[in-house]
Amino acid sequence: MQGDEACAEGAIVAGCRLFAGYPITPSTEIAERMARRLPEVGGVFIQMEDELASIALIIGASYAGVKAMTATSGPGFSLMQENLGLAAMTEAPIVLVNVMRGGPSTGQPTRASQGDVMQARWGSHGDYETIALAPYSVQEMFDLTIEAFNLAEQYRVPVILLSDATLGHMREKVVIKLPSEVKIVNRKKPRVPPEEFEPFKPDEDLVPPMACFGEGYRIHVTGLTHDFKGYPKSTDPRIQDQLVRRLCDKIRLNADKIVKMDEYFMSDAKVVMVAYGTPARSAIRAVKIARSKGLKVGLVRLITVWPFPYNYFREL
Amino acid sequence: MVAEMNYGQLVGEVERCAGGKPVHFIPKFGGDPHSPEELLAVVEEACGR
Repeated sequence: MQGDEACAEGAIVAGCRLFAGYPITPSTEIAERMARRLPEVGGVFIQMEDELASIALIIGASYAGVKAMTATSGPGFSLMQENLGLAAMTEAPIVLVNVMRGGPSTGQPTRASQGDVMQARWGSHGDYETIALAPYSVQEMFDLTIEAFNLAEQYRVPVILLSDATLGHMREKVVIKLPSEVKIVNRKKPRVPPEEFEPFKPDEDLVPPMACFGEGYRIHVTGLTHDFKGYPKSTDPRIQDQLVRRLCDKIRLNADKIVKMDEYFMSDAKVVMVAYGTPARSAIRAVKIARSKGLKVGLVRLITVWPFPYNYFREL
Repeated sequence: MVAEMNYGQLVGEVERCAGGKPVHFIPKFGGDPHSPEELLAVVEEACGR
């Protein structure tokens, strides 16, 4: 199947039951597949009026307790940046797929690029952290979509799947695993009665348990700087300090647990190639040929792009 | 060596970690990924072949 289709199937297996999106090449096949598949599993597909509304809806759906996803490409990703920041600030577990195409602006709709890597990290305003994964095969479009949902649920953070037009439209054999065959992570739920619950009071891992609308807990959600109860405290420097540090540290301090990569021929490598996504496919081939010629070359294929594995590279 | 289909994004993060070691960037534009031969040529040059 296509990479885009494998992504949709991975989302279904991960438990995604809502997709909101606006069509854009080369990600539209994800929406098309979700439109057909979600009703079969009791889910909801909504085509929205634009990308701003698409990400806004999945934030709301996440707060209603539903695993939710949207998919887009560069121009739509730009439109989603404001609400990507809202998702980071409100700690809404969501998955955003960006099937990258050539830019800037509308650029090359049908051609692949990796031009949105920095936007995935720094596109919204303020200090925050996201997680971004870069699949290199159609199988990983399936597997890493599941991983994206798991990370979003575990860390209450928006997770971005950075694919590209080549991978989205590539067809390869895919092993579709059943939900019982994969690890599925669900968000932590409150362990205290509603009268004691503070919706943004973190556990030791810096991630607050998440009550959802309709579960009997009092929840106030705002993009403003807020205290543990969720109430705005936008003029209190201590609250801002505490909140921003926690939003960043829950990812930074867990980076070693989050980061994944594949190493090829690294044990005695004198020259190291780094690649991720589609170029990694050519890089693997190039390194194998180089090895056959006796060249001591290794390859690091990044699976997690953000957080970036700074410690790993410093120690090389 | 860092291969990306852009004009230099993650290569900057690699450079920050390189501690002065040389970092070669291999950009690619136009919509097609690098071919193995393109990358191999850079590898061979880096290895002095």
